Amino acid sequence: MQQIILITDGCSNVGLSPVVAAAQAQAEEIVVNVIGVIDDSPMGGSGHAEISQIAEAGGGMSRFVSSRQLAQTMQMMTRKTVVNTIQQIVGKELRTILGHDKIEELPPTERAQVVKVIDELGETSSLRVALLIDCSASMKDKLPAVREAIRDLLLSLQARNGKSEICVFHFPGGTYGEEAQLDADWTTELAKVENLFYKLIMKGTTPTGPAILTCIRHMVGQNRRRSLDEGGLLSDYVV
Amino acid sequence: MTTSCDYVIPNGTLISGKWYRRQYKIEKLIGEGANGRVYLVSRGSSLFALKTGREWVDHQSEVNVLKSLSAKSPSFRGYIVDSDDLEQDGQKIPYYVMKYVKGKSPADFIKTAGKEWLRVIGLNLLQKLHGLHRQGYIFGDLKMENVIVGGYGEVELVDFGGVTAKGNAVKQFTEVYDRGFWCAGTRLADEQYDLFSFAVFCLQLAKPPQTAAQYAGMIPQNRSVDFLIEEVRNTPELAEAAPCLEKALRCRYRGTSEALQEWRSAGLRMKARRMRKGTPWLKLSFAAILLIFVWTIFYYW
Repeated sequence: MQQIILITDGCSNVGLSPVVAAAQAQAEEIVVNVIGVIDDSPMGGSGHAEISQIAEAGGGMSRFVSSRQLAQTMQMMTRKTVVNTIQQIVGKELRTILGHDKIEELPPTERAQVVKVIDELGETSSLRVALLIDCSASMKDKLPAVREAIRDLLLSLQARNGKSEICVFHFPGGTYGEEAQLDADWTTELAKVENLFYKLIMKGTTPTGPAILTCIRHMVGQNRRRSLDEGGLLSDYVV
Repeated sequence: MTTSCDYVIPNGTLISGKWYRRQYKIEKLIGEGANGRVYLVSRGSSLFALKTGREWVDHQSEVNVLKSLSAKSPSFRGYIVDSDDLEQDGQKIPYYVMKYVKGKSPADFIKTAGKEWLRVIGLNLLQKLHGLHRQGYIFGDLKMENVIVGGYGEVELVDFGGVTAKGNAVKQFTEVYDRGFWCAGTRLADEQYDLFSFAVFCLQLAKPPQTAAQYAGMIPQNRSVDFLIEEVRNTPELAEAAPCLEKALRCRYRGTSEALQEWRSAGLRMKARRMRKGTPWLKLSFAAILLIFVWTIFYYW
């Protein structure tokens, strides 16, 4: 199960539309959730609309919160996305058996059993969350809260039974203005996220779309490599 | 699959379940939480609490836990009475009916009855937790709002949305009561997790009401178990409970039965100490009476 959580405080202004990028993520079976951070000034109408659209295109949800609520919101989103994804899978099964996928239409005894299965799968399935952090100049004051929220999310994921990993990207990246830069590759370790975002050069542009694309590439690319490795025979020929 | 959040069932409405057709009359709305609303309802002459759900899966998951608890544990027997769906005014809402507990919030109770009730409330709460833990679950979201105290300090837990099977990730928690928030350990559901929340609960109960908000606003660098222990030590009302609370905060209890045992004996020790203070007097008077008695008998012999 894979998801991206995008944390931003405004509108994209460079490159590919983030809505298109998010739709592409969904096509690759990656759910995109977006958190709009609003601390001092309310977000402009266009920023607001863009964030909602990214989430909709990415099959996820969007929330607008202050940096104090970040940790809680990130947890809630991750958990809900897991439950939703499993519900969709279970729903497909239900449809082939019952002709509908509505849990609320099931009689009490059956409903209790289906939910038991959903709960179990939710706890044991493996999960990967890519965090994509907008580090344009206006986000500077919010970064300590972001770091704290990431630590908190990891703490919750560590308690799951299924394998749970996160990776962290920020954008705009690097000295040459790449779309997004990888800060921490797939990890379950708290130590790896403790020193995030300390050495950042803040820039003015917000290439949200290209950054999402970089994220997808990272997630999908690794999956391909992994499936090749599992192929055994083929892996001998991959250099 | 979310139900409509803003629909409040009007007072006086007669509702009947879609599957089992039992009828209830809505008396009033008595509570509102993250997972749904709680109404006071009547059926014949008995009162019950009816909880509606916001999310079908979350709600059913809570019902599953409550049913398995009601069946297995003596301390939760008869807790859940009914579970059904409501279809009314074009709304579809799942609900369950549980026993209605009349009582106050622990903070209000302490405010009127006095802080010396802390030991009884603590004891009853630990016993409740122990009953739950023995069934393989932990409560998870233990906090002021989820505890109700009756006339003589009886304790009832409400809102089972956070109840988690041991060994899984804690389903729902509140930051100030959460072990992870204080950098004191994992969010894995074990008995020590609840005991940690229990200690913070006792601390909140002994301190002024605004303390929770103050803790929640602390920056991560300042949050630590040492800070909480310092707070416990600086609260005179907790003197007797302090060793237990410290051990709970440091997650050093092997389980709830050990915590319960220590809490119990700490409470009794204080009584014993008071009595010992009076002992010389008692002994002296007893000796004097005996002497007079012996002397009287001797005199009249």
